[in-house]
Amino acid sequence: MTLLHKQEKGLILPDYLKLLHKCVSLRPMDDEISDENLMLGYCSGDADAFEVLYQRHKGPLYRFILRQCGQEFVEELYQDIWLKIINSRMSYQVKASFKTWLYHIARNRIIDHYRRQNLRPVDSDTDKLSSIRGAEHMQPDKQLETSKQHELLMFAIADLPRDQKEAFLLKEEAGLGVEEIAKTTGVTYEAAKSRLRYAFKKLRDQLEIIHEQR
Amino acid sequence: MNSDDEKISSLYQHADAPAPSRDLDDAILAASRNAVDRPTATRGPFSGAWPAAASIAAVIVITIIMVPILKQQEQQQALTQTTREKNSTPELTDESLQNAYSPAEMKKKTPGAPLPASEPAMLLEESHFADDQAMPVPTGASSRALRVPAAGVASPVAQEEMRLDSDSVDKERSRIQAADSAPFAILTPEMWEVKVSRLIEEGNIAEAKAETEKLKKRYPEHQINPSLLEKLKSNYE
Repeated sequence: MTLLHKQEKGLILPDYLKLLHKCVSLRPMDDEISDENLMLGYCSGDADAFEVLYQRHKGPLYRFILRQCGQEFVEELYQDIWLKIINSRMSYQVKASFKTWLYHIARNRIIDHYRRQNLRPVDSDTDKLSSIRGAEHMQPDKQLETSKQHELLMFAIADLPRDQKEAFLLKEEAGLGVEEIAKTTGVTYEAAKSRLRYAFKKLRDQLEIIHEQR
Repeated sequence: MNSDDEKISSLYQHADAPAPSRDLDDAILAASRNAVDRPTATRGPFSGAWPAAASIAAVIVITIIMVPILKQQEQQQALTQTTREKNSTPELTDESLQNAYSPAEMKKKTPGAPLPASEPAMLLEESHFADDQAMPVPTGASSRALRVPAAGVASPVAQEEMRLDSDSVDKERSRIQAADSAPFAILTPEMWEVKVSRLIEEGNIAEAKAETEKLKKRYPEHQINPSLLEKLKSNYE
């Protein structure tokens, strides 16, 4: 609605500015509001709160799914998970952090996807990785080194065992600590820590092999 | 986490970060807004499946209540019908007559007149005499004609009225028949005196004497005309 329309409806410009200022001053900055409060706001009917929440988590969640399920299924799963969040809003309770709840739902949906597809989490990309290693060995251009490293890292992540990959992604994408990873995946703290350690070790080994090959 | 792990983390964080498409974002945000706007978010007390269950329960309860009532009504109707049929063709027995002319019934009809408990009662109303004379007793044929009107001629209302008329005629006829077959004549004291006087004039003195005794017994408080008693006494002697 334009200012002109507001003036036609009887709101003169100073009033409109006052109202705008009031709204801005009453609502704290989006970054200050916790995920849990935003979700509670959405539960009570504030659609804008959900938008803020969505903008915060859309990228990490998307990549969390993408790295595990591949490009083919990512959009379907991503949409399903958010719809699950939307439909479960009335049963939402602040027992744990919103992030833990979100990734727990995502994890369950991914597991369900594996069961339906009767697939391994992601096909092993060992062959791809080998071919990239070969290509890297032959690549003389240093400008492409960083991007190739990224690509190698992605393939190395894809080659991780499922539990380790999940733990790694929960740490790197969702920003969860070991304890939250343990809660999300339903394992003990030690198990989560172990998975994470093995994941990093494997990635490190893969990348070192590449460096050695150079 | 050692420095190598940090390097891997850093490398991962600086890698390409694919994100959902704009269309996907819009679709999810639209779904979130629709969910908030939808009335199902606040379900009212009349939403859900319970109204159907409540309706079924109400029907069952009403059925359980109504069926015995309807059965009872049917029984009552059948009983009424049977009673009407019985009334239309009365069979008078000695017992029914005794009940009809019992002292209790007499007291109800004439509370002032004392009756001896041992004697059988008799009807006291004079109008019954008049009714007996005036009331035309319908013959069997006429009664049947009243009871069974020609089919298709009278309307249902008229047929009902005719049926009620025939019922009342039948009742009256049965009452008259009962009075005729009663063991005692229905006489008032005055009429009884007239009867005694007539018997004296006819020369039936003994019978007149007997009737006078009966009159005295039935109406002990009635003062018999002294001239009649004198007349009887003189003739008897």
